[in-house]
Amino acid sequence: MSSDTSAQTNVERPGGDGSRAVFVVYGLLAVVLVAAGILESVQLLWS
Amino acid sequence: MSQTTIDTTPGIPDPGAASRAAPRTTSGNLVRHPEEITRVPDLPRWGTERRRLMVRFGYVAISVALVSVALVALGDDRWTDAAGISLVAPGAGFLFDGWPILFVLTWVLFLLAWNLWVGFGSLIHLVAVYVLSIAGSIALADGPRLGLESGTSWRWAIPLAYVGAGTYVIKHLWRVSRSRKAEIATRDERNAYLASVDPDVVEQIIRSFDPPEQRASVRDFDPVGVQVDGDVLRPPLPVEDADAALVKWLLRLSMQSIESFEGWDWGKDAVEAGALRYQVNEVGYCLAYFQANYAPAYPGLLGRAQRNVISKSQEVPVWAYWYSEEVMGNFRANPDPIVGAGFQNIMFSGFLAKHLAHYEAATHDHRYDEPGSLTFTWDDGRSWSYSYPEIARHCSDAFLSSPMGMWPCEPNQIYTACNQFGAAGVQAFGALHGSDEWERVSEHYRSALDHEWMRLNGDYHGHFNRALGLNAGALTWNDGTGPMFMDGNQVIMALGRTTSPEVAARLFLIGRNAETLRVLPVVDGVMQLPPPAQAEPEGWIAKIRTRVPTYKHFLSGAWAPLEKTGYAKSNAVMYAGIADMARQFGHPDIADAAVRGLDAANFQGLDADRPFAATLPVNSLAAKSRWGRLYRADDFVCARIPRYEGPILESAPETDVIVTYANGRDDMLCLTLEPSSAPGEFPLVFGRLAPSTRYVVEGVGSEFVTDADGGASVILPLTARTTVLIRPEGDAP
Repeated sequence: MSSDTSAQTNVERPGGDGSRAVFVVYGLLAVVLVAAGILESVQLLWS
Repeated sequence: MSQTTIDTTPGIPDPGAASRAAPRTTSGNLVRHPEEITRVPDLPRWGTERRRLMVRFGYVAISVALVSVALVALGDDRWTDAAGISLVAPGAGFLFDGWPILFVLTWVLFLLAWNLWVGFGSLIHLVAVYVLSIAGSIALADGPRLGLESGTSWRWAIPLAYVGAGTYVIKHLWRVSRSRKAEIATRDERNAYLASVDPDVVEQIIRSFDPPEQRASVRDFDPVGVQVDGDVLRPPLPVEDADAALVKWLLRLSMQSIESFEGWDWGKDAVEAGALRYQVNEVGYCLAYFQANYAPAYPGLLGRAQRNVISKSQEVPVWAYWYSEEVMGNFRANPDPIVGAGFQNIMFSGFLAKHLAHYEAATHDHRYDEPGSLTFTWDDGRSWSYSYPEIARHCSDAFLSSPMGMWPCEPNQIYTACNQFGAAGVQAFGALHGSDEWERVSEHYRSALDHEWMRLNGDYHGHFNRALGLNAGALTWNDGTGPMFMDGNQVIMALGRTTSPEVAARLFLIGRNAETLRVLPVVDGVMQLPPPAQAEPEGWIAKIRTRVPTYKHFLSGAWAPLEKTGYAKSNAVMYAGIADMARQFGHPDIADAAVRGLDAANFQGLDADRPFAATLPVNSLAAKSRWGRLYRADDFVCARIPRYEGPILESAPETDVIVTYANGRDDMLCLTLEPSSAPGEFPLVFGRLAPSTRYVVEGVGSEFVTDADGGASVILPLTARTTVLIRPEGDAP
């Protein structure tokens, strides 16, 4: 069954197990949303 | 199927026997890699498919966010602002429009739709709420206001919506990131524990996967080995009042007219147990267990009872739910619950495959292998006909084609529990027919089980959305950050023993079940569990409460917590669950103690409407856990139940006599019978006895002579439960 030994050396390192892409994409999503919120806040305060 | 009469076919035709391959009985121990039992594998956090789906959904979410930002930043109108923020936060456009009440209403509806989506795969409600919130906010952007001056816009709602949505994503990223370290620590603790488990304990668990002929309970069993207690005979297997009540109850459910579901959990008091599709299978399993273990020599009635239940499974009320799920989840209108459902609806096709396997394993009757033997006729007259091989092949194809290794119940919603049934059904078909339906997918299934479904800590997820790669339960990503109300551990341990034996055994150990079973309170052979923590108040308030879910259950797709059933709280399910687990994992003494405890604490009596005041599945679990003394779930799935060739009880008055034991060998037959209501004299017809032979009926002292075909009829007086041994005494005079 299961044991994917090729992954064992990577799994101990954060992101080394292939999860980096997930964090990058959702991190980018968070950046877009929060940046939009900040920009809109600034615009609201200055207007 | 519009069949309205019960099955009265006495014989067991097998027209396909000549062309069917011999069963591929699994003769050895099911555990192939014992070392995997005591180690949680080190694997990447997310499997390839999950990563792909999560990233894909992330791109979709980014695209939507960018469209939203473009509308807000580049549009000069109120409606573009309202539409833009409605895209990233449902109902936020209403807040921008100065309609807070519609914002609240949107979220109430959104949560309701969420429940229907997770629980029933109904995407249409979620899409409708989302689209209507966008359209409504656009329509009201320049429209009237409630209590506010026309044209008012709450611009602060825009940054609030963006920051709120962004915070939601960040919160989960942070929790997912943080949980990783905790899960690896748990895995290391578990591996240290698994390495420390006494090898004898591990060996005992492995031995529970032995085939029947290597188990002492089967190897040393004499089907006519009655125990003599003074002048009274006792059957070779224990028969208590609860056994008789269970048989009576199961026959009442199965021998009623096919279209009737009287006495089933199907009515106003049924909560979360109203799914008839599960109940028909459970009743079928129980009857198969009873026939294989207690009454192989009474095939006529038990075969008909099982076939009637299989006929019930073809009744519209059992499978009509799929049409509405198909419409609301897949936007298609095809009622066909098997092939028409695509590779979805395993909760019907996969479960039915396992049900049919139990029937074939117990009876060795292959009539459902014939084309058109299973027909599903819709209200408008359209019908779809299948055979067991076609259903098994369809399920096998579904496993093979699913990158996640498992496939959906409700549209796009994959549940681990349902897949345990479906996988066992396919495996059983392959074993019973000597074909490759399971062999071709087993490696893929096992690999995906660990790579796609196992968490870093060794736990298994209970659910994923096929399109998103996320567990949508409880509005979280559920990656150790906010578990859904159900996980996969229990179901894999209980139901995955044949498809993933090493994983089932590991989960048994991780759950510390070996230690728990040893410390359960047993006094004089009777388990004594504490009563329920708090008695449920009676009355209409209590009935309403059973229908109100917790918040977590609600967001996880359930209308009510699954443990709430409409019945008063009892420990019946605990006794039955312990008995079942102990029986499966090789602790028959503990299983027997739990059965005695169950009877002492919960048995309602022979004349009650059901043996235990609990749902049908709990009563079914009680039946399986007490009857699986010789052959249990593994043996049904692995075709390890031998065909019974001995003498038979051909007929008895079905409604007047309860037969709780019927087994034999070498021209001898042992029966345990009792009148179902009043004492009397009852005609019994035997077959396959030694021809032209004088027989004595030990236990009542009568004699008879068989005819030239080995048949005979006797009138048996019965006042109470009676065990008789029918044995040849010599040639006919």
